[in-house]
Order: sequence, then C-alpha cells, then structure tokens
Amino acid sequence: MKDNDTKFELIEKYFEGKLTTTEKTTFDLLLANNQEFAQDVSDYRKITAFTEFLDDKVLLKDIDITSRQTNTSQPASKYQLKAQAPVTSKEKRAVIKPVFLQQRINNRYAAAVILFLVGTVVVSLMLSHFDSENYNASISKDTRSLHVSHSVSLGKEVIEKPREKQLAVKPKASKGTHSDYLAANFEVNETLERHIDKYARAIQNRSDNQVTSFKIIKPQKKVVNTLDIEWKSTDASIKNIIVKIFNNRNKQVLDTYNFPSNSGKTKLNTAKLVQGLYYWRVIDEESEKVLFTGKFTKGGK
Amino acid sequence: MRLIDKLKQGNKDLLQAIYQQHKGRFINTMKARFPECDILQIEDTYSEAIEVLYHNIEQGKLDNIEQSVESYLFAIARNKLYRDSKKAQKNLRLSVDVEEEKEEDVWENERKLMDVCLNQLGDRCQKLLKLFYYKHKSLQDIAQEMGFGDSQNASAAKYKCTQKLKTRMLKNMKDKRR
Repeated sequence: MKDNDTKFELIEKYFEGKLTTTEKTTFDLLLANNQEFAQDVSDYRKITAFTEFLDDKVLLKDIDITSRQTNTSQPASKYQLKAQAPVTSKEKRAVIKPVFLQQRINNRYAAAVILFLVGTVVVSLMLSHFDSENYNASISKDTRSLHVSHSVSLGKEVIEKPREKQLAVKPKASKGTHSDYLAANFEVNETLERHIDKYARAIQNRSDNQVTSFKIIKPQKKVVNTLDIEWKSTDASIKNIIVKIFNNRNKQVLDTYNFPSNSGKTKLNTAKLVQGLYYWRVIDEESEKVLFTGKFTKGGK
Repeated sequence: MRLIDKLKQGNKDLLQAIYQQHKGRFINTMKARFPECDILQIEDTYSEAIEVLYHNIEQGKLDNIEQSVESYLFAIARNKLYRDSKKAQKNLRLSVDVEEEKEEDVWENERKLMDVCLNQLGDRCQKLLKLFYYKHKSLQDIAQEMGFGDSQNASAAKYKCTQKLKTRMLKNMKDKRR
C-alpha cells in the first residue's frame, strides 16, 4: 500500500502529464478501486484549476492584454485575447477569450446567414421569374388577340420634306419577354402619328376646287404577306415615287420600291415583317417630298 | 535571438516544432484537468491555441512576456477548454444565472484555503507566492527582490512552491473530509 505522499506524487504527475506507463497503470487502478483516491484527484483538479486561474491572471497581466480589450470598444486585432481576471472575489474569474476563434465561428455563422439570404433571394427570384413567365404567357395570349384599331390615314399633297432625324423615336428596350416585345411592336409612334394627322387636316382643309395631284386609292389597313398600294397622280413633275416602310420605332424595315410611273399599283412583300404597327410613306424621289404617310398593322386583330 | 523573435520573423518550422514538442504533454495535462473533454476536442483546442499564440507573437503582444511560450500556449488552451467546459455545463443545467453566481463562489473557498495553506509553507515560498498571487508582482521583480538572479530561476522556484502549496491544500481538504 502506497503512502499518501506517493499518492500525492502520482496525482501531481498525473496533472502535469508526466506519468510513466507503469505509474499510469497504478494511477488508473487506484482511481478505479480507491474512492478516497478518486476524491483526492477530484480535489486536486479543483486546486489546479484555481492555481492555473491565478497563474493565467498574472500571465495575462504580463502581456498586457486585459487593458487593451477593456479600454477599447474594438479589439486591437482579430486575434486579441480578452481577459477579465478578478482582483477581488466579487469579480469574475479570468477568461482568456481567443477572439479570433469566436470571430471565425461568427464568420461561419455570418457566412451561413449570407448564404441562406442569397439562396432565399435566388429562389424568390426564380419563383418570381417563373410567375412572370406564366403571367407573360397569359399576356402573350392576350397580345395575339390584341385589337389594333389603327386606321390607314390618307393624305394627299405633301408640302414639306420629311425630317427623318426629328422623327426618330427612342427604341424600346429590346430585352424582355416575347409578349412584351410584341406589345412594344404595336405601340404608336407619336411623331409619325402627328404627320398622319397633319396630312389628314390638310385634306380636310383643302377646298373642293383644288386639284388632287397625288392620291392613294387602295391601301390596306391590315396586311398579311403583301401590302397593296394603288395610287393616282396628276402631277407630271413626279417622276419616281418611293415607298418606304418603317416600323413603329421609325426604323426603315423594307427596301425602297420605285414606282416607275405616276399612276398604278404595286405590292410590297411584307412576309418578312414581324407582327406590329408599321408606317409607310410615299416620297417623291426627285423633290424628296413626303407625299403620303399611312400606317398598317401586321398580326393582331 | 529569443524564441519569440524567431517566431515573429515567421519561422513556421519552429512553430511546428513547438506544436509537436508540447502536444503530448498538453493532451495528458488537459485530460487530467478536463476529464469531460474528449481527446479530439483537446487537440482542436491545442491547434487553435497555437494559432492564437502565433498571431499574438506576430502582432508583438508577447514581446515583453517573462514566462515561456509554452506557459502562454497552455494558458490559452486551458482557458478555452475551461470556457467550453463551462458552456457545456450551462447547457446541461439550462441556468446561466445560477452558474455565474456559483462561479464567483467557487474560488472563494479556494482562496480561503490558500490563505490558510500559504501560512503553513516556509518563509521563502510564502513570500514568493504572496508577491506573485497577492501583489501581482512580475517574476522579474520577484527575482530582483528575492535574489533569484533572473526571472527563469524565479519561475522555477515559483513552480516548486506552487506544487507545495497544492499538496498542502489537498491534504487540508483531505483532513476536512475525515
């Protein structure tokens, strides 16, 4: 039977991590079979914790970590330790807080939260996109049944030259859903509409005695694959007539067609045109006067 | 050149050597101190303590320490383990407030016991430990005041005196149980 001093020595070595294999075996046997020894170990553990606490307090004081942490709201660095060592029993026990670790953990939490938020946003965007697709699909159906009531306006003599640059309309954004694109194709071009109105007013204001020099006989309100144009002109100065077709963004979409004579009819192939609202202009090639501005729709109802 | 200075220059091999040198003893010590912690947890804590140690050295926070790098490393690690252990206990008890009150009381008993046992030690150990624990004197100051030559000698003497104190305290507790 070992005496108390030997037991104490074993316990000391155990807590120092210095037990040999033989001593470790003895220690384990005593710990398992001797309740008093087990209690001694437990008590010594408390004592060790206490002295370590005191040691750490001094150790931290030496490296001057406590003051930096407590005197500043921000840690001196992300690796700064925090120590709150007590001076009196009323104060809390010493704590070395490896802030970097906590921050690392916090960063992990923050990363997880950010990931979650980003994921939520992505999912919600996907869902909203999906809803939008469905919504646009329904709009697309409506678009196909969109009734475009643009009538073809007739004009006669045109007094002024076309000012193409002034007619420029800022094109709509080409990006978007198909239904949006279609709807945009049917939007009215206010500038060109004003020209149509102007020609209509000119016709209304013309006296009955005035001689009509140029007259559109047959335009189509709505076209499928051809635009039939029939005209009649009594103006001998008009040699060549050009017809240009513009989309509602005032962009010429069909090549120029020359009418070799002052009267007659022709067909413009509009098969390649997409659905939408178009404006057509009859221009005297010689004088570059716009003789007529009209409009038609392709597609829609 | 001091060990701290070498580490400060970014000598990772030296840090690795320190890590390997003390790992076994650290695990054995902490297993004794924190039997509720498993070895993996202790090893993780040790690795984290090495990181903290290195970065504190990099930032010059350990330039003026008197004790060994090992002491600092162990202090960081065991405090981390202590905190983790306390957290685990709190989680088990589900009562933080009660635990904080108890935390203050725990050391009250130990302090009283230490006061008693310190007076039972020899004069030299008494003086050394009182200067260190009560007056919070540095080992350098203690070395000068008590004539140890340097802080390392003072540290060795302090270690021996602390062991004596602990043994005395254990005997005292043992006597109280009877």
